[in-house]
Amino acid sequence: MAVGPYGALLESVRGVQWPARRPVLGGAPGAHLARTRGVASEFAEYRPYRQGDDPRRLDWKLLARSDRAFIRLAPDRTVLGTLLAVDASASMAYAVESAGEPGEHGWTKWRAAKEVVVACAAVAHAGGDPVGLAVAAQGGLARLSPRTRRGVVAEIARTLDATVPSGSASLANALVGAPARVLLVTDCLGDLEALRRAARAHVAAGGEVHVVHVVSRAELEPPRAAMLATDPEDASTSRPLTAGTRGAYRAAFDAWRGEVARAWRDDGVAYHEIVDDEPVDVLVRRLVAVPGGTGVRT
Amino acid sequence: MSFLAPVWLVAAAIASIGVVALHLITTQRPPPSELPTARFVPQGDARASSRAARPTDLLLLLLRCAALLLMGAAFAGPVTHARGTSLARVVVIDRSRGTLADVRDSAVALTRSGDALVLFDSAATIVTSGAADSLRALAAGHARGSLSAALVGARRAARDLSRGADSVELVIVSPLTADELDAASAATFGRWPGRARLVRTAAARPVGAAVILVSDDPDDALRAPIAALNATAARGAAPATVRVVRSGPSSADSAAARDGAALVSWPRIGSAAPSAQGLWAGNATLVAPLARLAIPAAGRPVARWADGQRAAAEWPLGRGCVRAVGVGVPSAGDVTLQPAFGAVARSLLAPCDGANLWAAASDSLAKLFERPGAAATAAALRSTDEDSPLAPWLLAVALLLLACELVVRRVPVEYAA
Repeated sequence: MAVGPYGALLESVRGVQWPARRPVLGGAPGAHLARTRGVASEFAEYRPYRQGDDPRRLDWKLLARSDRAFIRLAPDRTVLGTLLAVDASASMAYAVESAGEPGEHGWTKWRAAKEVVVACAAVAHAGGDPVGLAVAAQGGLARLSPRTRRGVVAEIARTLDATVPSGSASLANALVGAPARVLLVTDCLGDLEALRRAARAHVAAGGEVHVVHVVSRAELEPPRAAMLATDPEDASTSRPLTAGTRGAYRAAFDAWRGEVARAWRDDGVAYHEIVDDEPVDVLVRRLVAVPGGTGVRT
Repeated sequence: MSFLAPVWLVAAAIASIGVVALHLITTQRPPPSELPTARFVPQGDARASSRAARPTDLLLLLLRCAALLLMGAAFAGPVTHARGTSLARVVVIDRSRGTLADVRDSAVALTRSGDALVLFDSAATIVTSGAADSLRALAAGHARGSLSAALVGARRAARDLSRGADSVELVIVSPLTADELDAASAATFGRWPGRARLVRTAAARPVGAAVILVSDDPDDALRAPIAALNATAARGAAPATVRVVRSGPSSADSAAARDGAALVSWPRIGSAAPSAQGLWAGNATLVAPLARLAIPAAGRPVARWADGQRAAAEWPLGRGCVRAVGVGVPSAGDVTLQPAFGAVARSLLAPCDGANLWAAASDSLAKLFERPGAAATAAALRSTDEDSPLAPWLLAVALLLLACELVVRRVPVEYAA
């Protein structure tokens, strides 16, 4: 698998599992617990035989001992389609690193987003789940349908590397027709309300939504040289960054992030925030962890 | 080259220094920096003051300073004048009624080639060419002189002379009678910035029998005050005697009036009924039974009734005057014996304009119009109200530069990243 600069990252997330947060609808056999019961070797419970049941599922030994007909049930395992939707608006092209190879983009937020997507794609693909990609950029929504075949992670990595964040994009459209599990990687600076509405609808339909909120260190602590802050997606927003306004900016930004996190969680969405200089594998392990479980294959 | 108002140059220099300082201490928008979370920065004025070690926008600075300096130079009024060492003179020559023929001799003796002549009586005439002809034709006039008008004309003539001379001297040839001086004379002379010389000539004297009374009153109600006036004049305490003419003025009387006498027409009361009247003439007032007689509407009022109507009027005739008196004096009664009537009569029977004004001014008063020292320099004679031929051109260039400044200012300024 050609994964380019993501080799070390993928190595660090090897063995990590990304279980569903709740039983999923049945489908092709997979690793996730399904809502249906089947005939797998792993015993779950007995059920009285009803007319029409397959006689082969009768527990003949129990029938011989107790003269009662019971069906032996076992939990079904199924696959969980996963869509990794990433925001490629102009605000993700921030902040620019001073050093970089010629032709290599140094945008730290976008780099963090790419690494999160590639790592999660690798984890989901390793669990046998079909993995797809949706990139919301200025030109519209670019999709890679969920697949389980080999090389899909490399294809996702190549697509992301070829993408240049620019303009304004609506990530909400990515949830239309999305598989059961969706990972949204965004800085939440676009049309947040539309995205939340779509996520709520997906959760209500039995889906599972994860949000990774990408924040730049430079957004938390704007550089001293910046004296006039301009929104890259809205040139009319131009504000003075002085010693007097920096404190108010930090307070407003912190309060907004807190509100965003609370709103996502109220919507039934798994919310995670990552600062662009934090290690991505740590975030991935935190993301895949099911409340009450580890999510790590032992 | 010199400047009429050099203070404008200093002001322009100070303003230019201010412009340079403003270019160093400038308020401008700092370079914009992208920040996706800019919406969380509080609203505020996106400008910041910064001080630069070197001025920015050198072309703008150059244009502004050049425009200011040119405007300052235009307001300062640059004038060019020929460099020379000559001393020019302005000769002010009196030709009013108070002069005699010797003023022409004095003027001819004093005037040199290149001098400017200012001939004056009640108005001043500047003669810059043909001075010899003007002096030959010079004769005393009949108008009262005005030294103030002459000095204003002298100042104007001196300013013209200063274009070709280094200094200008003022020479006044006049008897300097008291009636030629007014409240503005001393102040106008005070503005002369250099040496001034007064050449006094003999003053003409008024005609001896200065008052001719034309009266047809057979009762001769004015006999008593006339007798008192003539008695006073005989002692030298009054300016003139009064000669009474009963049968109307003769050609000799008219000639005397043209030569300076006052011809007073004071008719008898006739059939007019006297009534209590208030009368004012000169410094005297009289309340007595008098009759109002008709007088011509022309002339300068010299007496008024208490209600403001004209009681007597006077108008000039040659060097003298004609005076019409509309005061009817009753022959009966003691009105003419009252001291107040005597005072009124002295005013109404006084010589034209007052003989005391005709006399030459005192020596102490005349000394006010002499000034020793250096002649007035050309620079001192130039004033701010003088036109500078260069000023409009300098202003035009300054306005052109300001228009260019508008264009240059609209060029967007590139901010350093």
